[in-house]
Amino acid sequence: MAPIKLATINFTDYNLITPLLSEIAQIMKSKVYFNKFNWDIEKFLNEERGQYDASGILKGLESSEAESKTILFTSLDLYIPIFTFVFGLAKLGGNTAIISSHRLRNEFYGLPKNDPLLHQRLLKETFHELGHLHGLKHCSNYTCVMTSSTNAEELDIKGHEYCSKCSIQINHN
Amino acid sequence: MSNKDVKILIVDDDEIVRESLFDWLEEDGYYVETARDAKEALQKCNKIRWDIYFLDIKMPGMDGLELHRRLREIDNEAIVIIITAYASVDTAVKALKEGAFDYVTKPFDPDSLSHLIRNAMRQRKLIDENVELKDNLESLIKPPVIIGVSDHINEIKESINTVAPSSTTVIIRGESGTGKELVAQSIHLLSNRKFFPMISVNCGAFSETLLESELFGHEKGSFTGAMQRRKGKLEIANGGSLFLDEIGVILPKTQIDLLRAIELKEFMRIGGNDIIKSDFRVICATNTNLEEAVKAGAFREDLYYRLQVYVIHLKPLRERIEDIPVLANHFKESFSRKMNKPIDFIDSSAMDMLLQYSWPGNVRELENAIERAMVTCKKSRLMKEDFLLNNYLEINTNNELSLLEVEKRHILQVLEYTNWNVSQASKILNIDRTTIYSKLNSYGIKRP
Repeated sequence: MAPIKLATINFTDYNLITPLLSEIAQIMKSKVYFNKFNWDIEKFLNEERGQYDASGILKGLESSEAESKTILFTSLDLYIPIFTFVFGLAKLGGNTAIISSHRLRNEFYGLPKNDPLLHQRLLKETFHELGHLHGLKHCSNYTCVMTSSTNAEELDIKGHEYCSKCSIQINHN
Repeated sequence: MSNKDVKILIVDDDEIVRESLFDWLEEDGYYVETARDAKEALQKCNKIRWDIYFLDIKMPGMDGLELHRRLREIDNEAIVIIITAYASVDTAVKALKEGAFDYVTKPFDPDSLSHLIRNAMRQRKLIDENVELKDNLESLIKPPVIIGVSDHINEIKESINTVAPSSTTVIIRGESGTGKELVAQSIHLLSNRKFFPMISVNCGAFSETLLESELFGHEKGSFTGAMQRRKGKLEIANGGSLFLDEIGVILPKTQIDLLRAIELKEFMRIGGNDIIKSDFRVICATNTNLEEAVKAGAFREDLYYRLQVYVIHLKPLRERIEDIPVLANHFKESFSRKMNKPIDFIDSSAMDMLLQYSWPGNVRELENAIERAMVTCKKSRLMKEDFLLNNYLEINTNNELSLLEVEKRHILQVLEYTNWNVSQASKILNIDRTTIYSKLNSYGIKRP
């Protein structure tokens, strides 16, 4: 399995990264590194929407580092041109994915801060986008982490593990 | 149907929209392709039958609205989702009125789009199921087989095929038991109304008041015993056919109401004030001489002409004896299966008897005769003695009789058969009544 790099850019929940490292390493059976990322993300700001263009960021980040899979965490609100928002974005079979904690936070929905819940949501999003980077499509098993979630409630319902079918596929890839 | 079986075509001139939507739908496992304009989309339609289309309203060249119309011509059941900006919502609404499934305004909420696709898929599945069920139903709703090899039966079949597809009023005339209802069923089941019911009313089975109530229905309290509102047969037959058997016996008051209902396709329930509209096709049958009834004033002339649009006249069985063997064998097979009693064939002497018999009750009588014979039969074939035919005249096969004697005996047998009704006997013998009287005179026989 290719090594996984976690990176942050404009990410305010830095304390949540450390536990993620070990959990990802355990599930993905892969080496997981972390580094901060210095990059000009402001050019992807759409002032009219007040959001950052996730697909533009991914295109800019898609590097020659085909040997590893990179997950970039940010606290900025992300969008793609056709959608009002995205929790995260990955190119199917690509090398880089981006995840936003902006709409994963309870505070966004007017609810009290809940760090354990945010951690769970980040973990699920991370495994979900990693699945896409390994070529997995959405899964019809609603407990599988690869099932599609278009809102926070759906994200909370699904599990944080791959179903047996997706596990086989991810290990094969 | 799994997602990979669902084929989605995205038509948008904006590359970012095409790519984003493509990526998102591909992640969901759908088979997705894109087209940058209407021309490319139409080319792709020639190769694949797409389940869902995403069409941008504003495109250079042919716009989404026009493309939607073209797609409808190719596949009327296609699920089309219009992609629009806020500024063109009016146009999207126009597309909805022309049959588009829904529209989404850019940018879409991913949750809404996800629901929209699920609903679209449900709709597509229902459409496909509906088509499949209709096909299955069509194979189940088969018109009854009309048995016969005579020219007359072939002409009847041709008439049925000619008149069935239209909504023309049909009157079927013929003696009792000739198969008038069978013909009516064939007409109904070969018409476009076959998925709706054929409602039969035997007009001879009701008194005038009851027949009116049966046909037009009644409101609660409209007469003693009308405890609740009841729909009439004309109303129930909406979309289908109304078979009025024994139309010749209905009384003048009902004739007037029926004529109006047939002409206007609207009527009122008994005791009601509301006009009920019903789209039904009239097929009627009679064995009475309507022309004489019109002359006698028992049947309204206007209703007579309204019903006489397309006439199918069924000949009695005695006038098409070549159909008797095939009908007899058909009934033998049918009862053999029902009774689980294998009968190999009908003995030749029995068949000769069936051919010679006059069958006043026509095919119905033949059917009953075969059924009775099947019950009493103790061998593997139906014998002459298994049949019990009313007033059967056995032709004397004594070869030593003179022609004069055979003629005399035959005339007498026919007169016995008709209870000495000379007019009826003259029809059977195909000679004048005066000839019968002169023959009887020459034989020195007087009418009993």
